[in-house]
Amino acid sequence: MTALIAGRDVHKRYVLGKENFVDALRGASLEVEEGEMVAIMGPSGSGKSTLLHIMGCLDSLNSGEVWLAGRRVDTLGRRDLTQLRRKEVGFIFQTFNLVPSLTAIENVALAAQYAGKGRRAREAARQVLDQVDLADRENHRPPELSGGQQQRAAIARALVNKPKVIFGDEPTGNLDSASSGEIVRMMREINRETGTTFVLVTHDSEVASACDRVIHMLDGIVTPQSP
Amino acid sequence: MIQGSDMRGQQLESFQISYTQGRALTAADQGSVVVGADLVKKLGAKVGGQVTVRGEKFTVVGILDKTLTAPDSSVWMTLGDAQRIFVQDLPEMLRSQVNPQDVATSFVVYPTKGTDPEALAKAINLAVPGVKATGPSAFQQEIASTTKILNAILYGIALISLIVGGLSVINTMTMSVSERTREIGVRKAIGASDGQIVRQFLAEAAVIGLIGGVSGLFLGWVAAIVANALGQASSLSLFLVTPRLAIGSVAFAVVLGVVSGLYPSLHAARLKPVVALRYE
Repeated sequence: MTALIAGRDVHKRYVLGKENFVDALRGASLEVEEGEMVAIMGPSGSGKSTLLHIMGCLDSLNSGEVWLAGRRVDTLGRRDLTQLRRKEVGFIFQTFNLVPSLTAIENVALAAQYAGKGRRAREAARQVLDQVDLADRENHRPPELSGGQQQRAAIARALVNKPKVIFGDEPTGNLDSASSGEIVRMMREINRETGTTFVLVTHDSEVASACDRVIHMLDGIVTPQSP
Repeated sequence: MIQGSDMRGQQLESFQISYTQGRALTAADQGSVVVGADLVKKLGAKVGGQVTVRGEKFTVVGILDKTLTAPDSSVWMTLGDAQRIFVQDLPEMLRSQVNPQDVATSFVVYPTKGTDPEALAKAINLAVPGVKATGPSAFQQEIASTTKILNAILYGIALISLIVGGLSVINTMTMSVSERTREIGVRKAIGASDGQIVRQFLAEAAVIGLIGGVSGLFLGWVAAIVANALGQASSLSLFLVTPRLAIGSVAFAVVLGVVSGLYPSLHAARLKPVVALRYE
C-alpha cells in the first residue's frame, strides 16, 4: 500500500506576541495508508487538531513536509489548496459546523456547488443524505435536527464530492453515547463500503476501538507507541 | 400680490395666460379684477361676483388657469386702480405729496424683432437718468443665483447621505463578516474559493444597497409629493421624480452597496480557514 497521507518532521509554532509563542508541533511524523481508518489520540494540547488541520490543508506549517494524495501540500498556493479541499478532502467537526440558515440538503449541496457540480449538486446531495439515512429530514434546518442527525448531515456533506480522505475533529465529542455509537458505525461502514480513508482526532475510546489503528501524540510529536 | 397694468403690452407678451372662466382685463375695466388660480378659494371669487382687495370691493371678470408660477397668487387690476390703492396705503404725510398717476414700480420694454435686448437695456440706461434697465441675462442670473443656493443645499444633503449611507453599508458588512467568521471558515473548509466568498458577500452588499435604494426612492417620492403639495400655495413645484431619476438612484444605491462591501468581502475571503473556524 502507498501512503495517502504523510507528514514528515512537521513543526508548527503559534506566535501569540513578542517572545510569546506556543510550539504546537515539534517534529510530528506519520503516515496513513489509503483505505485506513485511523484515530489520533493524546491529551489536550498535544497537537492532534493542529496536525489534522495541516494535513487537511486548513492550516500552514513552519517546517517539514506534508503529502496528500501524491502531492506535497505545504508548498501549494491558496488556489491549489482550495482545489484539494474541494476534491480530495472532507471534514467533520465536533460542533457539526452546518450553516444554520440552510436546510440539510442545501448544506450538503453547497459543498457540491463549490466543487462545480452546478445543477447536479442537489441530486448528489440527496443521494448521500439517503446514504446516511437522513433523506426524510432533508428540508430541515440544523436547529430542527438532533445532534446525531446534524453530524450525519455533516458526514453527508463531507462525502458528497467523493473525497479520498475524511478528517474528523472530535466527531463524537458533542453527542450522547447512543448517537456516538451510531456515528462511529456509520463511518466504519462508509470506510468499508467505499474505501474512503478516515483520520479522526478523538478522546473517545469507542471511536478508537472501531479504527484500524491508533496514533498517539504527546507534546507535539507522534509517540513511539503508535504502530 | 396685486398687479396693475395699463394692458398695452398684453399683445406683445410671449407668456400667454389662459382663463378658466371669464375674460382678460382691459384698460377700461376700472373696479374689476382677474383672480389667480390659488386665490379663488381664499377670496371666494367667481366671475360676475365681487371680491374684497385691501378693503375695496372689485368685480371679478376672469379667473386664470393654473400656471404653477407667480400669477397663480396674484390679483390683476387696471393701472389706475392699482395706483390708487398703492397711494391710499402710504402714510398720510407722504400721501398728500404723491400723485397716484405718477406711481409705477416698473416698465416693461418690448424690443422690436431683431433688436438685441441687452443692447437696448444699455441704451436706456445711458439715455434715461434715474432708471435701471436690465436685459434678459440679468433676469436669468437672478433665477440662477436663487436655484444655485437651493442646489447647493440639496447637493450637500445628498453628499452627507452618501457618506452616511456608505459608512452604514461598510459597518453592516463588517458586522456581518465578524458575526459569520466561523461560517466563512466552514465554507472555505468545504471548498469555497476566495472569489466565491467575495462574490457571496458582494451580492449581500448589493442586496442591502438595493433594499436601501428602493426604500429611499419610495420615501423620497412621498416627500416630493408632500413638498410639492405644500409648495402649491406659493405656486412652487420644486421636485420632480422621473423614471430616469428613479432607476438611476436605485442603481447608484446598488453600486454604493457593492463598493462599500468590497473591503469587508476581501477581508472575509483572505481569512485562513483554521483561523476563521476557531473564531468564537
